Amino acid sequence: MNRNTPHGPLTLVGLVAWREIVTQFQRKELWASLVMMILVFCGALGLQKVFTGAADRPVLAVVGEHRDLTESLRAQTAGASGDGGARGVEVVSYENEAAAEAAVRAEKADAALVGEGRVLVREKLPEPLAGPLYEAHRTAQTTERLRDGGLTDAAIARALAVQPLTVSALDPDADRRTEPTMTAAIGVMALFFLTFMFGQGIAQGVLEEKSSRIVEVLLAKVHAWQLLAGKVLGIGLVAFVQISAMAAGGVTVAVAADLVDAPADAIGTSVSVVLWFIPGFLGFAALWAVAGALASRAEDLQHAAGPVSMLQTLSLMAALAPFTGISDTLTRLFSLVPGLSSAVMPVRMASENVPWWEVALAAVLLLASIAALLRVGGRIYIGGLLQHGGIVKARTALRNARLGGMS
Amino acid sequence: MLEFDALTKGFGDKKVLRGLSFQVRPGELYGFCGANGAGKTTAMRIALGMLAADTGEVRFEGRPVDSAGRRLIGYMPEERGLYGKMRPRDQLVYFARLSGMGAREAKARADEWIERLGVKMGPKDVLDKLSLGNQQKELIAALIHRPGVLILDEPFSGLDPVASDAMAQALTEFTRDGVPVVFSSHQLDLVERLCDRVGIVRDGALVAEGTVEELRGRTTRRLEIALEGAPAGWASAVAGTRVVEARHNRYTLEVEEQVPVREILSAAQTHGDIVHFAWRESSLTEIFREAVTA
Repeated sequence: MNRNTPHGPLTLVGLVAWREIVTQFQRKELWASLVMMILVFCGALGLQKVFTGAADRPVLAVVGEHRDLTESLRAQTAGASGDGGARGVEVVSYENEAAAEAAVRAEKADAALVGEGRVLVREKLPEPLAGPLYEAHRTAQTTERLRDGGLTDAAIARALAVQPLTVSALDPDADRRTEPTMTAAIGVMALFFLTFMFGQGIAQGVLEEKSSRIVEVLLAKVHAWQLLAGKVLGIGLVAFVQISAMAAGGVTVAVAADLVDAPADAIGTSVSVVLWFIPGFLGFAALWAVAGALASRAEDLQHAAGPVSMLQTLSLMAALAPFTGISDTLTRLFSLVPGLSSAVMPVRMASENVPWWEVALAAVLLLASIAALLRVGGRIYIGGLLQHGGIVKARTALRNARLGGMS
Repeated sequence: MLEFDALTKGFGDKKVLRGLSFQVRPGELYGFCGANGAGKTTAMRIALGMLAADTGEVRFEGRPVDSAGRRLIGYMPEERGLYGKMRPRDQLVYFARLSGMGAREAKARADEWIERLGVKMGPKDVLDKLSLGNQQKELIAALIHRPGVLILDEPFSGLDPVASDAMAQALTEFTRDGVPVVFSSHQLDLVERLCDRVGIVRDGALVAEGTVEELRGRTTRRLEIALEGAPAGWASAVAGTRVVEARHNRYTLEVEEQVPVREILSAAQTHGDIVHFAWRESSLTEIFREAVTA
């Protein structure tokens, strides 16, 4: 005779979630996808670096002394360091013109100063090198003429010490924001694929339970909402661990390899993306579970899940809206709409200062919609689970749930 | 005692249960029979809380079965399955834990039943890796959580003879512990052999119930007669009877209640020499057929 003490609802949800977690972590595919995602994340950060033009310092090959010129260049380099854009010029000495020319041909140097006022380049003088080089040349020439005029080096230095222009930036963070925006967009894209992958896993798992009638055994022990909640939470937790590992691994590698200029921004953006991911994932996971409950056979699943994958794709497209030059108003609107906001808002937050009330409104709307979704979706879920044959329409499933008095 | 009390259930215009009532006593093995669509699965799903009855209720030990009471139920659906990609021991523990069993006890019981049923598997094998026979044994082991009552929908369906015997033995052991067991089955020979009582449901209502002997007593009497030297079709002429089966010279006759058997004996003797003359016990299949087609 049964002497067991019935578990509380939360324990039952926990048991369902635990099974999902254990089952997921026993899958080799999960570990393979985790490694792949980290590599993709790092690769994408590297590409971003290339596309945003944060290249290495230009290299100038010099032959001979050119003391004044190289000093002027080095002085500019020292003044430019950490400026985010111009990083100065690296000056490398070569013994003769042939060696310097070979360095330019081999792309070891961007230009070679081979003689008095003569510069060799492959095609044209690179922009980051041109300004400093012209300036250094002018300074070197001026210094030489002043020295010929009898001035001492100290007097020359005083004469050339010009108070630099004071530059006041109207939008000093504009350039700095590019990197977090790109990081957020890459993160959202990675999460899109992750949610898609886990979403399909959830739908297949629900379908497996339905088609093998395991769900009937389960529903004799737990309520449908407990089953749905446990499943979504369990797989959600696995996805969260995976995305956290991916973000942590990706950011660590990116910082270690100097792929990002502002690590704090990258970390902050990653945290924001992950935090927005949680409610977004919960919503989509519930939708995928409902889609699984509406299908009866594996071949029906893609069709049943069509609207879910379409909505998810829309959310990704909306998240990339800021890069398409689409109107700011539309992007703002997308960032508030549940279903899209979890992808759009983190990208928007990375690219501009979003008013706090808009962030709060988006979060409230998203959470409210998830609560409504779990309620209605839960009804469709239970209504679909016990109906077999083809794809069950959502309306039919709701009717089944109502007629059956299912809970 | 498990009681199904005046259950009614409709889906739109379709009435599936029409006042279905029956009881399963402690330690009783109850065969729940009916044609497809008669309402057996719906009744079971109501007991398990998967569906709500329109009227009536299911009680266990005098109390309506609520969500806590349902944890006492061991249930096996008709096309029951297990998780193909999960390790057998893990899923036994999982189902037992969902039924309220503690982790340590669930693991111990899982090991005990796996050994007892002789399920052969490697430590890391998932269910799909097991042979069909071992998977069937695993199904039985899914009832390890010491249920207070068993409700099984077609538990013998698809089992090979060895697994079928193991299932029968397991059910008998449960009844020995005082657990009421109700199961549906189309394998009426098994029901006849195993069950203490049988209920036959038609169109959502019980039309016959009792021990197999009691049910036999309520069916029309049947005589089996074989004659030598009798002309073909002689049995049709015997008054107060109806031929239900004719095979070579052997006839099975349904005998009306008021007709004395000696009159039939006399009538038969006028047609030929008696080779065989005996009452024939109705099988459960015949009882079932009569009940669902009446």
